[in-house]
Amino acid sequence: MNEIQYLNEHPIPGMLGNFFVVLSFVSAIFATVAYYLSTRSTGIEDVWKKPARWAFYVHGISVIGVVGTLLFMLTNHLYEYKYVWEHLNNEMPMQYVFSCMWEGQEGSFLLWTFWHVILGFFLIKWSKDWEPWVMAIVALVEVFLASMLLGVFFGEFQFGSNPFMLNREAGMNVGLPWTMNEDYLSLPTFQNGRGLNPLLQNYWMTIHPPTLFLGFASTLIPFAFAIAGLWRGDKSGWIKPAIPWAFFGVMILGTGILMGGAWAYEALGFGGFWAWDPVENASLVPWLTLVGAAHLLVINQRKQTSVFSALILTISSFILVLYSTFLTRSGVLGDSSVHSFVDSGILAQLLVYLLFFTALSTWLMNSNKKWRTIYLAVCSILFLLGLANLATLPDTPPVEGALPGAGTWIPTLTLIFMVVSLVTVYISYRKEYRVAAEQEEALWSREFWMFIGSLVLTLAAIHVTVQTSVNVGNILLAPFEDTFKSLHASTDWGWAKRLSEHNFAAPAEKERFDTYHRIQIPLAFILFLIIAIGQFLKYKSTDIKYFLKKISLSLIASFVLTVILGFFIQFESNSGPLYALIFATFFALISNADYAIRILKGKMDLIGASVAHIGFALLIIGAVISTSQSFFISENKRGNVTELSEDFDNSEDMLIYKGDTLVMGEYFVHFKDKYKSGNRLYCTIDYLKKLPKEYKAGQYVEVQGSTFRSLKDHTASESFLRDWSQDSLWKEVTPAEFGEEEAPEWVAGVPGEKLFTLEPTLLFAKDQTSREPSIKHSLTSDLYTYIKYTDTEMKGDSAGYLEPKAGIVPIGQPVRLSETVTIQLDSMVAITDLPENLPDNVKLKRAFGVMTDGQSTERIILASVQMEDGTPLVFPVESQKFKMLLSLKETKDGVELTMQQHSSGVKDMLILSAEIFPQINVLWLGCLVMVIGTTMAIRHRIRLSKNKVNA
Amino acid sequence: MKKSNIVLLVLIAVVSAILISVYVGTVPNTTFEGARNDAGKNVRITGVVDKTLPIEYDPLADANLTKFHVVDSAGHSEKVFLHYEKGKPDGLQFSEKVTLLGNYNESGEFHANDIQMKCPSKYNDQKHSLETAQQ
Repeated sequence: MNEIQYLNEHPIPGMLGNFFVVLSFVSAIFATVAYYLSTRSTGIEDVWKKPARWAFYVHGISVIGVVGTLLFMLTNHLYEYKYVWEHLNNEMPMQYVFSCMWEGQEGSFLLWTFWHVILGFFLIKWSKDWEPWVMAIVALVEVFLASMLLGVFFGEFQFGSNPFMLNREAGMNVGLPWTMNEDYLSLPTFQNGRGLNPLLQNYWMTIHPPTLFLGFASTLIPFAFAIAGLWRGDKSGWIKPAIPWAFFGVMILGTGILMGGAWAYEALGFGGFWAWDPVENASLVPWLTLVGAAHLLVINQRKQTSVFSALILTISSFILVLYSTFLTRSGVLGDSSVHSFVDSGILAQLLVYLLFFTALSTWLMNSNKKWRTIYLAVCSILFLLGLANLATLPDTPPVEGALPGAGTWIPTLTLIFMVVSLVTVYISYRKEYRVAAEQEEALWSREFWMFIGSLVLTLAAIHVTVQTSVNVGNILLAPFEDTFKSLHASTDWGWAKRLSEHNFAAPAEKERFDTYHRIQIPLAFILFLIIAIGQFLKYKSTDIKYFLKKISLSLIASFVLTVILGFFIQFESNSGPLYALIFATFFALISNADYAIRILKGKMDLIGASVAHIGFALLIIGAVISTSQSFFISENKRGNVTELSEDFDNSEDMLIYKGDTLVMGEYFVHFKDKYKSGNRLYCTIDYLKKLPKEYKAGQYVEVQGSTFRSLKDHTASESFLRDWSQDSLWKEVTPAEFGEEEAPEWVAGVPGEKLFTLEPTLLFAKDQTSREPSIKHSLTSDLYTYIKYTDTEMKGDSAGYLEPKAGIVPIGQPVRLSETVTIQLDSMVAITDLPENLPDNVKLKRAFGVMTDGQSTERIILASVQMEDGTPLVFPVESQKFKMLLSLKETKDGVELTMQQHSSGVKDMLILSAEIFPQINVLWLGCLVMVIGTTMAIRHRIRLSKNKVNA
Repeated sequence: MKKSNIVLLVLIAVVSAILISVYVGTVPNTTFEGARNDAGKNVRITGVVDKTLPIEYDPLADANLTKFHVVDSAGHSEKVFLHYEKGKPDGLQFSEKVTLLGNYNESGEFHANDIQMKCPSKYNDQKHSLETAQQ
């Protein structure tokens, strides 16, 4: 077969990109081996360090080369490449080119790899005598990550996914007719790409992923130091150099997570900043363990009493990053997350990656040679069994809805591996890490309570992990289906039945708050108490009288503050735990501030930790108050909305027509405009000041059908009921007393000058719509508004008339035609004198109608025409004033009226949701303070270590 | 008793409490028939939106209520009254699979207050467009 010469393809960037991909993989292997050899050359001349460094530089440069090539392809719109075609289109502004790069799975792995390389460069410079060990680990991780981009096949198994693949080479397209066309690039499909999901076209997508991935990448460094320590047999020497890196990770990963929250709040319209979504949880868990690890490292720098927990948490932080990647990228979560990247088909590779590093860490935790050999042997056997099982699987198509791994040995083998690893870690703890009773920390020492605090963080992490991994639990339970079934059969235990069914479901959106908060709030309460007392405790041991004296001020102050707060805000009856949490955060806030001022005398070098704790406390205070005290101001004042449906409480939404001005909370809102621009639909809403309404004595008003007379001059309050019943400002009058005419409706105020404008939008993505909120930020609260519903398009016919509506109408009574217009028909009159344009043999009847909208009226003549055989002929008549098309038809049930409204006559309607989030700025302030505090602490640590070296 | 042993015991107790809380807190997956037997109790049902029947949504009447039909895994079809604070769920008509959280009320209607949708993945979608748009 002749090779097809494709026209207009650009093969060079692809070849270059592939070259860099392969080079980055090979050089990572070389760097790993060379650094390994370098670790073995202690005492003799280290000939391997230099080549190892060069190999890592080459690796780094090729990763940067991959990034550069991909950027080149994106900026030049080379749509023959699958990645470009999938993530870019012609319409997209070039500022989103970075977002396109990391939107896809390959791109996000690339971003992760990129940060490892950058951090690796710093490590080469800064890790001194730890370099060979630490860099060997970094390079090894890079081997795995670089392999994710290889995209080579071993039989049917695809190893990695390559961003430089051509569309025509992609597995799913091979063999399609167009791939045989040498000029396929001139086909319309390849003139434009599919583009970045419009939901992601904002600046958050530009800044959030790089920050988050830098956070993920920075967990590798403490991990690498911990592994290096175990490897060298130096169980505590690794701690000091790892501390600044651990806190750096805490800061960056924390910032990344909060940016995700800010994105959700500002742009995604989730209605809040945190939803306990699996993808959010996946980044929260490593942060929790990393915070615990960092604090344990600080303790162990002075006294090595909890090296074991420090090791476990440091290693877990990295393993959990791998686990989160596995959870969110492999599809094991099933349907429990809205934005996890399912179906990426890299499950096996990520699982091997995760299990490999778990095994490596476990193996190194135990320094006993015999145990190491046994553990290694067991792991190898399990791995080989898994491979053999996969290789011999019958070639059956996957069952719809089956759990991943069903029908294979993988879940069982994984479970055995986990048990064996846990046992190994426990044995090594008993043999190597147990601390004798007399060496334990004193009860009233700072290190003891820091240790407990880290445990609380670990428990929080365990809870979030378990709750998020419910579907993984199902997968692991599947092999034991029969065991539990027979257990249920013999004992009738309900839980055995549920375990055998293994269909536990992760909590959906709204239940998540209950499920998570039930455990997380009590844990947070304990954590903040520890944060509050921690700094006043001294290392080694504290004089308890001194401690109580010092802490009592903060304790009393926070207690008073909590009680005062209780008068201002109302918690719901069941939110006692929240109130307790508020107290604990106040306690932590005040005692840390007190410590920084009174004890540390505000010395900038030393107060970093206190400042970070204050920030964390502020963050949680802001989160608790803004979410528990949020309320809707978009109550519906129109009334008729609730009438239409009894079982619905419409108090959260407001129905407003274009041009209307209504009262909403402390404002008047004016629905000014609705327009489309690009793929967005904007609703412009002016917020006007509410001015007081003055009523004079003797004035009449109408309220819900009754008429009232003002008894004296007064200013209307918020509620008529109050003015009437409490303050006796109004008296109800009988219609006879008042007369026939209508009194104006009572209003609480009159619209004043414009204060601000909000423009909530609807964003149309391919086959979904997303609501973008519009937020009015002010110092003490946010006004958060979004479009709940508005007609996205008016589907009129060519003349602009909408769908017809028909119904049998009573004669002589008014009938509602639209929101405002009614019609009243008088009786049908037969006409014998037929107009000339009608044939002779028809029956013609006429009816006069009066249309009105309450202000103006229009008289209209409608005709009903019937053929001799009874077939009706329809003659629509247009109402000029009310923009409607009307026609009549006589049926056996009565007179049927058909009405078509003209799209220009339909008022634009909007259902608006507006919620107030009080004190949300405290949350953002907390984030900022926390980042500043952590930076101060890191700076202090780095200085400290430099001074020691110099001295 | 050593402090570390006490800490360990407390740790084990809390971890067990967490596991039990997760176990108790998970709502069972079931079918419409199973839910009908447990009227009033919150259950979770996974199924497919019946696209041959209309999805009713009248924002003027109730902006939070969407009515549609769902066929569960046992093939049983049922009308669902979804009360959802974000209004009509975006992309309901395109969804492949939906998971509903709700219960049957006294009058035998299934009312859901939470929904999770699985929408056609980007990758499948893209496959279609390349297969058909060419030639």
